[in-house]
Amino acid sequence: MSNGNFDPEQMIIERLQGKAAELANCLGARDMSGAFSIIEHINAVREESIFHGLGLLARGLHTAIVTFEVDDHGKHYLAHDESGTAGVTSQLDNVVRMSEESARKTLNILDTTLPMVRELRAGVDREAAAASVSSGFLESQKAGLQQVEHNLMDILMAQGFQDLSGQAIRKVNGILGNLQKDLIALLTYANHVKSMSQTLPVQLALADAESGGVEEAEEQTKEAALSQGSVDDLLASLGF
Amino acid sequence: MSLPLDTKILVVDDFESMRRIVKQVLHDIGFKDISLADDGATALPLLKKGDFGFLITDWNMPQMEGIDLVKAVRADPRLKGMPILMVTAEAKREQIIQAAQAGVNDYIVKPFTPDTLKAKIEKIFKGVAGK
Repeated sequence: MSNGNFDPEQMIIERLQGKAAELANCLGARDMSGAFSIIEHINAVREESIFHGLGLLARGLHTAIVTFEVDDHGKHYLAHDESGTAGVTSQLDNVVRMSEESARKTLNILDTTLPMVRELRAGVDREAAAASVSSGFLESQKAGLQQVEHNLMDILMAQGFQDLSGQAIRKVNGILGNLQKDLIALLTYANHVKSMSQTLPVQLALADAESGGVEEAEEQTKEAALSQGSVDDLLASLGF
Repeated sequence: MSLPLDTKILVVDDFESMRRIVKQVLHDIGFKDISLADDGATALPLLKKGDFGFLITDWNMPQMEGIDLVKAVRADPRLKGMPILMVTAEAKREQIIQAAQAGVNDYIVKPFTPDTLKAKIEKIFKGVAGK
């Protein structure tokens, strides 16, 4: 959430400077009630700045998840969701699918090649056994085919990467989804507490403050998982 | 030792590549009767209606995890004696202990080599034969 003119730190500094001046005036006039009221406001500004920072973090994370793109080289492999945006989770899912397809092709080739090599080896073994004298040519063929078979087995075992990388990607996707959901829930809770408090008459820094926003947000966070569109709406309703 | 190569084996893993790798290595060892399942939830009915003699299972699977499949097999009067090898990327100490407590006969951490798989299978069948 940056529009080039907005500087949240500067905004907070200006608000604190304003309150500091008011506090000095109250103290000068020995207005202790007014002074303590201003101190409460200053505390509220601190809490608001933390809340605002969390909001920006949630918005940044959500934007990164939704708008993640790869370079042009890999783009044509990647599916786009209904909104036309390839999100990070769908792109990671595509990586799993692409590596699975690649591993499947390799394994299909191995399924036909390994038996061929073994058949060739068996043939050479039969020839070597039938030969009356030792043949250097047959021995070298035998050793070469043995090495080819060994290498093919190494290629086979290496396809296990697809399982391990796929599991890692699934875990990362889960962590991203949970992190986003938890941040949204935290923001909703903080906003709710703030709206209930009589001592914190603080408005959201960027809040549109439409009525019903908090209730709508709470209802949405009750769902097990929010869609990307719902997350967008919820963040907007909270002012981020 | 000579392995009982006529044993019917079920390999359970949610990734096709790993199922095929394990199947190929088993085939190279000499086993011929190898079936595949992509989840604990699909494996359990196969085990219950089939005459499998050995189970090789992954841990992390979407519907029913391998650890729950192991527990279900051990809780089934007809299947409880079946040798089980867990082949998984999970390598935390507490997970290995959990698997042992659930009743696996042995445990392989991915990635593995064909020699490791063969050695573990020999160890399992040696233990079964010794009982």
